[in-house]
Amino acid sequence: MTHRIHPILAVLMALLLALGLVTVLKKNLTGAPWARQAENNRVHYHMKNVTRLVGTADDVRASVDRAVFLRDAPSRQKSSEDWISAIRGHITTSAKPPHIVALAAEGRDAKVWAVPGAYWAAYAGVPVVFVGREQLDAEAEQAIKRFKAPVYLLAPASLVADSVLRQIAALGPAKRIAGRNPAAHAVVIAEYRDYSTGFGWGRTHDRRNGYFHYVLATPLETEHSLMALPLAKSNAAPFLFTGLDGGIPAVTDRYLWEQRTDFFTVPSEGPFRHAWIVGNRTSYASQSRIDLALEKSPYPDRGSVALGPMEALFIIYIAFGIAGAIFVVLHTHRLLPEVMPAALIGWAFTALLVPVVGVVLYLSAYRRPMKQQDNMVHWQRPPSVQSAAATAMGFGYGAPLMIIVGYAFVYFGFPLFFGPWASGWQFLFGAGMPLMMAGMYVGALLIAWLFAQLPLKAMMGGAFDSATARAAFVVTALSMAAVSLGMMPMSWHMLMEKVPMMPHEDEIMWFGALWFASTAGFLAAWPLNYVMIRIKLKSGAM
Amino acid sequence: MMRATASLLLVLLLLSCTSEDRMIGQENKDLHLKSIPTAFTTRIAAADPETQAIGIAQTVYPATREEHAAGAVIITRQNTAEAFTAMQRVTHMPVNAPLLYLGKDGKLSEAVMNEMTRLRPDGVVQDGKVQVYVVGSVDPSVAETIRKELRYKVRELRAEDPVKLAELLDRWQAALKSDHPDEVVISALDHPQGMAHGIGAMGWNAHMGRGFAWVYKDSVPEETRKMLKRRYGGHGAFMYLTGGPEIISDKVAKELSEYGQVRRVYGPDIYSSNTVNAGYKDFGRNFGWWTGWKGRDFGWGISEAGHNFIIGSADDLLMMIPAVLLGHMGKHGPLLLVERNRVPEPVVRYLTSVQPYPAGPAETILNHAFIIGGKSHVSWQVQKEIDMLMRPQAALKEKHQDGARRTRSRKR
Repeated sequence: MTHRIHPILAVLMALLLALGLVTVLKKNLTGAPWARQAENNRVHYHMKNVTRLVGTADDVRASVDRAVFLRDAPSRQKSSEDWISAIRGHITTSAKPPHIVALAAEGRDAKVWAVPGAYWAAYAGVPVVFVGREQLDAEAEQAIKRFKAPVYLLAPASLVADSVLRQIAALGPAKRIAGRNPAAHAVVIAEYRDYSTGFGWGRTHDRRNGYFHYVLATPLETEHSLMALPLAKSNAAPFLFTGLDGGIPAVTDRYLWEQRTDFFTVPSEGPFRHAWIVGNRTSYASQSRIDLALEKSPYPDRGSVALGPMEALFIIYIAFGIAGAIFVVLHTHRLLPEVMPAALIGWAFTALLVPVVGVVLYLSAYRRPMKQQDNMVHWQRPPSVQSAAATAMGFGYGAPLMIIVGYAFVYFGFPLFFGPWASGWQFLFGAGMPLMMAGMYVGALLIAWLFAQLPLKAMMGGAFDSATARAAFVVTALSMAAVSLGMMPMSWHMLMEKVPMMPHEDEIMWFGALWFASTAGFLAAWPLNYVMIRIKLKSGAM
Repeated sequence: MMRATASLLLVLLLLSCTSEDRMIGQENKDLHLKSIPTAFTTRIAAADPETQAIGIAQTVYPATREEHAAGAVIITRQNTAEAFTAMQRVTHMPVNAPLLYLGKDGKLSEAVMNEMTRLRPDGVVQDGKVQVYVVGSVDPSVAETIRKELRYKVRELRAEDPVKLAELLDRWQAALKSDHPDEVVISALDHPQGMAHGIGAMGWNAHMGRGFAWVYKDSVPEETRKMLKRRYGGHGAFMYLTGGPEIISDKVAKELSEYGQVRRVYGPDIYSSNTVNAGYKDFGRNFGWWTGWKGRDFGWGISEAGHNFIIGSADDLLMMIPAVLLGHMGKHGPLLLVERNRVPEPVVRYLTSVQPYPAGPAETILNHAFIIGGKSHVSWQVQKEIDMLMRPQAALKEKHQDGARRTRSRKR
């Protein structure tokens, strides 16, 4: 039975760690599971990063009128303008515009495609000319000739043919800018910037310091969108599309998440981002996601759902660890059948939690002459590699167990005690973090002692008596204390100091922090194991 | 990599929400229509503190998924001092909680129960996954009801009076964060304007989670002394008194200096105390250890454009206390007080000093304000004035020109 205990423990540890990582993945792939319930009982629809203007196009017009022009009693009269006059009516052109915007006038979808361009023109105060699918009419031609400015044709080839673009180009510099669909088109215009002509919002992911507003609506709400045109100018707001079904198109979603701002010192430092959603069709789930996407977040993890730079590093770190562990298992299986399962497990978890370096040490430990002694195979290693091997034997069980116990603490919540006795420095005895760290050490120690060290002693020919048990306990306690010496301060540093908010167990940041702290634990324990080998407490020959 | 992840997420999002979606604003949302936005302000309207607190919680927590829901919920009586104390210490991370009020009768209303259900508090990891904090002199039946009907895990933080409550919250927070924050906000409990002077600094605490203690105008209570002694090292605490000598006497300030550095964050009236707080910054030494050091860092220090504000009337602080939550997430800004029908001079001066100016489309600088309460709390006229103070200065000029042009065209 004893020879099975190690593999069973190893499989359990691997399963629990895998379960934790899968939970992280699942969590990040969730959409808005609680949307229905969350929308019920709402008393209003505004959110911290989203202002919502509901109702018909005329309601939106009245709301925007009041919002931008601060009218006491916004006019409620029905607008009967067609969309082209609506756009023209909202644009105040400067006398010498730096460029001209050309929009498609013909085609069923022309007005949908026109909205993002109209927002730019309204903001920049540049003239808009409407052009046909196959030809440039006299009015448009004259306007282009009159202003003598570069023309940006903001329409796809399906709405304005290349022949028309050539006709415009014959009059002066001209360029077509268009996305694959209306949603992508809006994002292209929001990101595009030509500093020589002053065209385009230039709001790419890299511009992280501006306080940006956006206006959003579905393509079915073009009238609403055009009624909100004054916001383009007053709030410097480009237009983006939500989906036909009230969802968020992938391209818009990608853009909004890239627009999330981060903070370096405090979240109040700015900048901020804000969305206006007009009309009733964009769903509550989508509005909430936009609110979340635009929420300010700390630099290293960039908040929930988003992927921060430190998180990306941790994912790579963990991936190298997993690859290393698989390599060690396969390598031993194929080429080193002499290695005991207990030792293999120690090395596999070491390779997992000490990415790359673990694999290098493993290879260094076994590319050595072997010799048979007392029915056991020993490898002849220099002292430093012996120490590494001895460290791996303790660390390979202790570190994953500490992570698993820590996970349980975070999953169920820390215990907390703060009676009247907790007034002086004694408060630390009731504080969550110290209790979790003590719990991690004690919990992992007991499991490692009972299910790893004792069976190992038994297999090596010892008897199950109290002396063996005591000796095994001392070795386990010392090995794990050595690991803790590096792991605990590093996890405190990572969880409490390095990141502004302590991550939860379903965030990659939590695993990354503990993974990294484990590596620190290994490095701290390595020289201490040299001492334990010198006093013959441990052996590093297996 | 970010793009790939985002696209993958999106596919799943669309799969998960397309069929379920429905149009918004179908039901009669009276309060939504009263929550009038202007270009640079958003009003969160309500007629009473209980509804106001719900409206604020809904602004901050859309609650469609775990990361977007509350960490916990704070429940207090409609008692200004207790709610004020709770908001100072409980709101901030890692707790992440809005404050909801009990009814005037001291019981949970149906609306509050519904909101607690909607908020789906995740539970505070650092505190045994507690989901609801019942704070102050609340009847035990309240916690019982929440446990029984909502099946939430409740922690009661009960104390006889606000002074003792502040000390209890300090002990609890220390256990939660394994630390006593050295910066301590101190307000006067027995002066009628003590809290109005201190509400801005309270907002900083809801935003950054530092310490809070009460004093009386002319004396320092024993619990507060006990609290201040806990601060580590010879220098002890860094204390920020919210109010001038007529609110917290010089005698008290001198007595407090036994426990560390004492500073005042104040102006001649409640309006200027809060504008001073918005611009206030105190940083410098706190403690060092051979290779490392940690400075103190207290106050919003907002003296430039590109920020947000929470603005409401000083008439009813119960309406304003839950609103500092808007400084905890989203717009992260300080609180300013105004009169119902007038923007006081100090507020005009401060907001003018941080007014944005024109910039290119890729580096826009804007301000924003949340207006708290219905028109009976802050008039439409005041909201308009605040909007004008938020607007970029050139836009302001253009607006006037634009208005003139429109008038002319109407005449034609």
